[in-house]
Amino acid sequence: MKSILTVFKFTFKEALRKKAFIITTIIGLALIIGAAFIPIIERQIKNADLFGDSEESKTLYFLDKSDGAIPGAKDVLVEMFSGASVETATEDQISEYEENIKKDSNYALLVLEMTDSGPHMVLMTKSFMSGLDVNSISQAISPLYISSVMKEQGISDEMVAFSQSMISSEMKYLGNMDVSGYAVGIAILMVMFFAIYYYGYSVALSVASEKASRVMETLIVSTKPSNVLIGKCLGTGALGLTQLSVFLITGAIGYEVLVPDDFTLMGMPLSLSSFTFASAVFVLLYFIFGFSLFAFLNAAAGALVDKMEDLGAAMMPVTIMSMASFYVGYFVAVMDPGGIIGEIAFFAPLTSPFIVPFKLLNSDFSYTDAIISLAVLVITTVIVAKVSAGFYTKSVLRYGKRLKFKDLKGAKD
Amino acid sequence: MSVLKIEGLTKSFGEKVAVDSISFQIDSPGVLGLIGTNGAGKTTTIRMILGILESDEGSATWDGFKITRESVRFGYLPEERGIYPKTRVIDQLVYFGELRGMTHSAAKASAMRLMERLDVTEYVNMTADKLSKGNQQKIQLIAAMIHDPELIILDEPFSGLDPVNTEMLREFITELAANNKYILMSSHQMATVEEFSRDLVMLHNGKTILQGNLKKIKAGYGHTNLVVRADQDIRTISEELGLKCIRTDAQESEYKISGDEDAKAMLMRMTERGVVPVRFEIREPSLHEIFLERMGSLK
Repeated sequence: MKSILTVFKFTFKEALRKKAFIITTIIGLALIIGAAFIPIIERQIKNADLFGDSEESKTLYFLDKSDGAIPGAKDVLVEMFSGASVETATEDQISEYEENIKKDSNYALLVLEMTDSGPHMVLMTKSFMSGLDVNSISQAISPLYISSVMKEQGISDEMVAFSQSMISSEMKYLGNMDVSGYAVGIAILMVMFFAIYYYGYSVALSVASEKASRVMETLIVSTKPSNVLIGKCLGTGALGLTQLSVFLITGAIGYEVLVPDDFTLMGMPLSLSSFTFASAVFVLLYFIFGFSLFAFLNAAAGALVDKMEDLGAAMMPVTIMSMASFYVGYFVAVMDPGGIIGEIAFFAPLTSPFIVPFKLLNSDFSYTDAIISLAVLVITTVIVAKVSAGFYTKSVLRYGKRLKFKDLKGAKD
Repeated sequence: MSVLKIEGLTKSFGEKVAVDSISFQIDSPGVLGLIGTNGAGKTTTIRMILGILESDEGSATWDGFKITRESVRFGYLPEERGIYPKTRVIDQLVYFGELRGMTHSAAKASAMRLMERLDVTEYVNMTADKLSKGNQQKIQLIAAMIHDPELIILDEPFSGLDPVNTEMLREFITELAANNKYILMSSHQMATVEEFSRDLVMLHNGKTILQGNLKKIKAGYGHTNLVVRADQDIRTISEELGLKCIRTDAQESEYKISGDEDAKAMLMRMTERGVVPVRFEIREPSLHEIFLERMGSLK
């Protein structure tokens, strides 16, 4: 146990000092902080589209050629574009307005005219990049025209107001899945794949470099090979958890400080109500054992090579396994949460680390099933760890010739 | 007194018998030299002793118990040198010490003491890849010695060292032997082994071709060499006596003799001719000569 702790500490400290770790952490933090700014940036862009809070002065010329067919139209425009100047235009100056618009995107001209089929609006801007939307203006002004016509027909003000009222509505979801749980579940799935792929590669790289630099022979006479392997996998896993925790804490601070309170995702407010203590514990356990399973597989792949340039080829089967498991997890999450593939993948040790955390947050499930699935994962991880330790021990003195499964016979710890 | 006992160790790789029933023992502190040409089976024997390789037959015991990390505190310098290139020297030495059960502070203190002894303290905070090959080798030797082992196994410890570092390592090994350590040292450099070894096992193609106490082995050969230095030319005298010259340089010549009678005859003839010997030494054959003689007899 002491040896495992020693290898764990050494692996953790050495990896922490590496430039690759420092650079990925900085890039990750920059991306998270950048993502936290997105709602603010999005709001700024939306406001700019509507001539709102932009610093430059904007002018919307309004040319009413309908002989006042829509009373109050200009007032609606003034209210709609509160940050812009809405000026009444005259027909004889149209060419002058058009010149201004061609030169400067801060000018726009809205022409309202009557046709045989009713009122028609033309919005002139410098380019499609102006962000102005004639349809939203039409939607804002149309009720004025309809109420004006209805009043001309002698319909009472109450009826006019009633005809324009909207039926109130809301959505209710009776299942366990909400947009927050879905988003968090997908995020966990992505993070799991990142951890398995990136840190798993680190384990394989570390084992292969120890073999290439011939340190292995010194190591295995100092302690049991399985202790080295377990310590190495745990150290790398702890490093991954540390990095992810830093990202998570930064994300939480960014959410609190930078994301507006009324921010919604697909029209719904963010909520982590589906994240209970039990589900958090399960997610953590699946992360630890899921990562360990693939880390031991990667360690065995690393032990197979004696030249660093062969590492990619040796890792290919494990990489394919992890990618296939990830895609099964992803498609089950996106397309078939309750189907037969989802049921099988829930218990299969390679796919369960991707599936179960998502299901924990997004569907009704039995804790008994989750415990059985976790037990299968743990047992598989232990078996793979033993086989990997055998590979590791046997591979120490193998240089120039690939190790095969039959060579494992008689592997000692 | 402890005993390292090797009995009938055998290992084959496919059809090739790499080590064929090797037996020897070290029953008191000192150096046992395991010598042989490349491919003789030295490293395979060492790896079987330490349990890195499983033997097909035979056993290696320390005080009657199978050699494991738990049964004996051993230090091992492998033939294939390996240290972490991107890790600070002190960090990896402490790491290896802790793996051997030492506390952090004890490992650090031991590492510093040994670094001072081997004159590499200036590299303490450097990463290993910035060190010369010789200094890397010293660091690895410290890693093997950090936990003050009882049994020390050195596989080709002098290969790749310059004369200054070779001399420093010689002194260090002499110190270890004087400090009651049991040392098994493999080498194909006969002169080096001859200098340290009390006992000897000579291997060829996995088989033991000679073993025992080095002094007794040499004594068994008797006086076979005569070294003569004189101011005058002595070639004519040696030719008259039919002595075979095996080495000659600007200072002296060395002859093969069949016994002390040849030496006496040489000395008498020199005296008769008025040639004064500046050096006249009768000696046993060197280990190198014994090795060549053994190899020759096998052919």
